[in-house]
Amino acid sequence: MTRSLTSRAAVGLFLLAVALVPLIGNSYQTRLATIALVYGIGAIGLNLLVGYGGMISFGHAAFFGIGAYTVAILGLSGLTSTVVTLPCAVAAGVIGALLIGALSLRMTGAYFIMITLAFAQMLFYGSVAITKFGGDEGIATPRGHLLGFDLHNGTAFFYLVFAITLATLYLSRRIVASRFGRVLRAINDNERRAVSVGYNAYAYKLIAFAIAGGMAGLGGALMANLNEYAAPSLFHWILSGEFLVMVILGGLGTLIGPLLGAILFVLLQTILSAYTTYWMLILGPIMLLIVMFSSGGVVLLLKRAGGGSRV
Amino acid sequence: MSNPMLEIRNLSKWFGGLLANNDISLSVPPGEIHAVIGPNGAGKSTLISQIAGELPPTSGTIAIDGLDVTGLPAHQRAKLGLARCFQITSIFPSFSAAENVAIAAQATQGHSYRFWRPADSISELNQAAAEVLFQVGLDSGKTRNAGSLSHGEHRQLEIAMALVGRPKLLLLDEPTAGMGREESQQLVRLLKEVGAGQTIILIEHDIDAVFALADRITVLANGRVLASDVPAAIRASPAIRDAYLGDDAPRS
Amino acid sequence: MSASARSRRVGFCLAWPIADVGDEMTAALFLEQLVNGMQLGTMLFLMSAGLTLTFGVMNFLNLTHGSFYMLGAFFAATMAAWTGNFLFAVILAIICTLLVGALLDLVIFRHLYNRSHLDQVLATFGLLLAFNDLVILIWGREPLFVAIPPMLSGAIEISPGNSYPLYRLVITAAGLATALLIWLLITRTRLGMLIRAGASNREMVGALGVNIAILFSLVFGLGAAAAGFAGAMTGPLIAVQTEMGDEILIIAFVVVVVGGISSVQGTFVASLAIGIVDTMGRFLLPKLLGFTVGPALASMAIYVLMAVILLTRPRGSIAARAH
Repeated sequence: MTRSLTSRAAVGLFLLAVALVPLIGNSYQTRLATIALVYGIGAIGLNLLVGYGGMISFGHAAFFGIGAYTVAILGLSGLTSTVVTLPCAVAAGVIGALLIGALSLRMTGAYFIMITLAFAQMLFYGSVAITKFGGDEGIATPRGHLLGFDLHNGTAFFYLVFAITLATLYLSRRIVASRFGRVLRAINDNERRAVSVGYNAYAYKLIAFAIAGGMAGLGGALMANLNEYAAPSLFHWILSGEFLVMVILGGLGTLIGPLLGAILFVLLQTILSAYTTYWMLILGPIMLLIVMFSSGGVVLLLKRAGGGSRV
Repeated sequence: MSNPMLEIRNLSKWFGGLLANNDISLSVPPGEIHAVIGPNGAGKSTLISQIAGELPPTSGTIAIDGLDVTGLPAHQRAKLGLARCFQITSIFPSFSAAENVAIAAQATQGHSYRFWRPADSISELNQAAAEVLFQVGLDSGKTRNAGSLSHGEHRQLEIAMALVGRPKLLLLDEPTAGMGREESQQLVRLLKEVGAGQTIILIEHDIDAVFALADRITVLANGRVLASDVPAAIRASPAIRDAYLGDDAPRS
Repeated sequence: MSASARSRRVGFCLAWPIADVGDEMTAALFLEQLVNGMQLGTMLFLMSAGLTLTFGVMNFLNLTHGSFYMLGAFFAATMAAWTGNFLFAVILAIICTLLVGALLDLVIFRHLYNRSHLDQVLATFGLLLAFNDLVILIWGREPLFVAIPPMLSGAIEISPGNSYPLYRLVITAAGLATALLIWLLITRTRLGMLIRAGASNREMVGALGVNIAILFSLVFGLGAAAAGFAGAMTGPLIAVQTEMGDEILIIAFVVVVVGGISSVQGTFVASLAIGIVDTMGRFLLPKLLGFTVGPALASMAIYVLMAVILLTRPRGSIAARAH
């Protein structure tokens, strides 16, 4: 696997710049950066599915929400140690993804998109309707602690999230390059051929879906910690769409892309909404233009990641 | 006497009102190159799809090396030793030739739910790929995407991908399709070389290739087996000559 | 958009008359909910028909379809306020929605028909979001109120002592009539034949000399008009506000998944089934399972139905047909 020195350096500089935010910015900017990183973790998972696996899930928010609610529910029982709540959230995301994925992957293409969207929205309505868990107001939950170390400090929490983001990035890099990742990319490249050499395409896609779900669960758990509450809006299909936008924005067919896209998205959202409450009126057409004018469509940008070993 | 490598019994396939394969029975001993010929619409592709596991039969059974695979999906048959080359070449265009073969080799090594080691660092796979690529005459050093290779090179690559797993049974679907005379003859030579000892089901329209390679020939027409015999007998049969070979009958 | 504000929109967009806790389970109440289910079903059909057609014929996955429903409702509300004539307003609303659809098709969507689903989804998603904001820009955040036309505002006695709102019956009838018209169009006219042919083999139809571009535009326009019609009619029953099309869009997706895309009848049956399951579920499940679990399950009922359908279908069967 070859990576040019300049691209490595660029990635390194970029990550360094992000790491410096709490030191050179104020608490509001630190919080914003934390939000971007949390979304980034979710987007990294989605990129695994979309960019490398060719599966366009419009229900990624489902697992984000599951992660958040797992933390919140554990918090209700007094469990706030992140060493416990975060892995539980990941597990919940994986299990949710296995269940939803097993059903959704039975159909392909546009149906898959519609089904994932529908299931995520099902969880949204479910979470609104369950009054026990706060209904449409959600559940408040205290910010967790790391082995006794208090995380209420914005900077401390930022660095925890940053470390987790780095770990997720690294993990995704290993997964993509691994035997599993190669099979996933091969299935995306030519599923019929992959099946004919002996790969159970459905099983590999399901595992990929579960991994993405776990990462989203992790992101959701961190979001619940950050905001100190979990709400149904974390399941909302619009968030699912926003995750896709993040993957596309940064998605130059790289592993760092989704993180870049998440940061870009949060920046765009913040800047635009400072000018006008109708920021979607601007962002919507921007998305449209990106799709229309990227020659061959956005998928081509992402597909470069598919077979090659470029990260 | 050992099991036939491929045993098809009373295989039939209905598509709505159309009987594409009508009570086909076939037995292929190990090591035989068995050609299936017939005019367009005779049901050859349907037969291949059923053997491969892409199409479930309406009735009848398929057994590979004594094992009934009729209910098994395609990927499982591949793991049991079935390899396939498609009529329209089907490879992984975004990967290099060496990676293509390595991916095929990887499939024979149990499951690939392995998430840590970089796939391209596994020397056994790379070595196996390089060996087979050399056998078929492709340069394993080329790192550009296999999608940009020529049509003939795609064929060679497919054969390499099929052979690297040391298959029990190889399905070749019109390998010389789209090739000129020169290229076809080259491919036939290659198949003779690498196919020695291999059990092969060969679907072909190129009669010269068929008679050069086949140990036995089955003639399909209208979904039914018209005849199944050694090439000499098929060639000698006037009925078959007229019905099918016609002007394409090989020069004897 | 705050979390709670977003979730408060749930349930307002589809005109669910939520039965009271204290209602007894009578045959009349049951029948009333059943008819409500049919009403929802026919509106769903008007939405889903467009989706099924554009997806079936053009392989175009269109999220902006929800905006047509919303625009239909807003146009009708505004026209009704201006002219005082509801019928006229509905007709105008359909025309305006059709125009918007035609414009979008001409300028944007035409270029998306050959693109991947990801491109289509992202582009139409962006537009949907933009429309949601545009509607606030033009009409404000406050829900619009549309009066039920006085002629239709009474109630009909369906059994001694029980009455059912006349307006709901009328729009259900209108929806059924439109469904019949669409069915006749698809199965009995030359245009319909071309649409069905185009759904199974686009290139072939093109090769026969039919102007594919015009065919696509007609199909798209039909779908947009139907959605706008549904929105316009439902306006008086619900809060006409931004994002009102999103919810019904997702349910329409469920209809498409459950009903498949191969026939108008399939879409119609699926629409009715889902409309009824949803309405009856919201009515029955809280009664049967109490008020902690009931409402949650009720809101998830149709998705559970979709899950069951998916389990029982052979894997990928529709996918093979879809291309």
